[in-house]
Amino acid sequence: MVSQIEEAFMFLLDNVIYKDILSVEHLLIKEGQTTSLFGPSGCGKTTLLRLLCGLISPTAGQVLYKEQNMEELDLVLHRKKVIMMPQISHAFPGNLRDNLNIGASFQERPNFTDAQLDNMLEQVSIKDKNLEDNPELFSGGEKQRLALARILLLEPEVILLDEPSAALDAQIEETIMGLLNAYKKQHQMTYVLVTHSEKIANAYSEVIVYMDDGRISRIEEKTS
Amino acid sequence: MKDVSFLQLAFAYLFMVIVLVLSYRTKVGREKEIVIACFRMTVQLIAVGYLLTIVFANPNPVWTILIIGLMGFFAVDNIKKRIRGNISEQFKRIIALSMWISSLVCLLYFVLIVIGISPWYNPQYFIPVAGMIFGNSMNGIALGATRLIKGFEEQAPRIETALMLGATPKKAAMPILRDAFDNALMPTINSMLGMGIVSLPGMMTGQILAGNSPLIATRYQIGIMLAIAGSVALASALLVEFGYKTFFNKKDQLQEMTGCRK
Repeated sequence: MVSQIEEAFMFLLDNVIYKDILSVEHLLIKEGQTTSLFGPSGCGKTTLLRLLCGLISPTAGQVLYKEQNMEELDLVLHRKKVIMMPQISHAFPGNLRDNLNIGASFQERPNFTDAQLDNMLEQVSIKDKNLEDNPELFSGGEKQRLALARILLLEPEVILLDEPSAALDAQIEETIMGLLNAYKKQHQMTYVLVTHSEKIANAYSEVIVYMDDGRISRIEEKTS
Repeated sequence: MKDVSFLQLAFAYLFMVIVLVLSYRTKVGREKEIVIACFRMTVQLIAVGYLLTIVFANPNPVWTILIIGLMGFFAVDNIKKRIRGNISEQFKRIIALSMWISSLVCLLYFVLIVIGISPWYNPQYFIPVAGMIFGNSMNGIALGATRLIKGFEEQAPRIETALMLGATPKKAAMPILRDAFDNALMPTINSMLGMGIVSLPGMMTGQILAGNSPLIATRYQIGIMLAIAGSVALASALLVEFGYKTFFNKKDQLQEMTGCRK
């Protein structure tokens, strides 16, 4: 236990309760790893992600981010470092360039250059698209990759992924997970991934947290 | 002005008979409401006529302030009734504050500085001008507030997506705020555009019927229209600027009452 705490951690949940939806006695999310939250729908996985990015606060208990109690953090600042990708990605009004730059505009940072944007589109395998194109016309898979590109451009420390490929077919799911995995290796990223696919959880994560009815039923650490 | 006797006025009720017959024949089924509305309109206006006669005959600052206070109170109450759905106490306070600040600033500026009435509480000017400013601000705020609430209800996922990308609450809600402001102000702008061509506004019509020069009536109308536009714009800006904050909590999280998920 002691040795576990001494390791660098991103998040530590201590006796966290959120309404009657979630109750977590103890959970450690380590830096540089992918932690998957696996379980049936309605078991509190998404609620846990929302707690981690500070969209909601626990009813009781505390969530630590890098040893700091999140209750004491400026949550707007926190959400610049810990970005959540929702299950369904919305395209914002404007063309593809506007959509890719919207994170920068939200965070009041300068826009990215077209070269940076093109490079990112290549990384997320959005091909044959022009920066002037209207993303409303993109397919579900393309919109999802656009949402991912939008987040990666902001270079967060942690990405919280809420079933990033649930609405997509298996092949696109593989592509997205492959992309995320490659990016993680390059940038030492920390991911928390909500999934209801055990296959995805097994293939891409170091830690699998099994959840049921708002509680953690088992934690499996993979030794590779 | 040519006098109108009650007997003459009675002939005007023929219009209501036409409305009633139409409602009955077309099975619209609004006869009861029409009769009530007509009755209330008649009683309320006659009562106000007598009240104003007394107030104008005995100008007194207490009466002027009291009547203005009542007008504002009913305007705020009317807005709250017009907005459907749950609204927080905080938001209700913002509505009242936007109403009072914008209307009073524009009313006082218009009657005291633009027209320069004397004595300063002269009810003959104060009360009708207040009625027009309060009434228009009331409509503007009701439209803006409705739009703001609807926006937060319908676009909660998009606001949260923006928050997830590191936006401040204001940035995240900006499209809704712009839309609400626009909605609050549009009727006033449209009525300014049509003024004099499509419609002769009530104030001006009244003055002309009362035998005043149309040129003076026009000047009053232009002034009051500008004061109304100013008041509606100020009210909408205050409503939007302070109102959006009531949809977030102190930790910059979207309040759950706006229908966001678990």
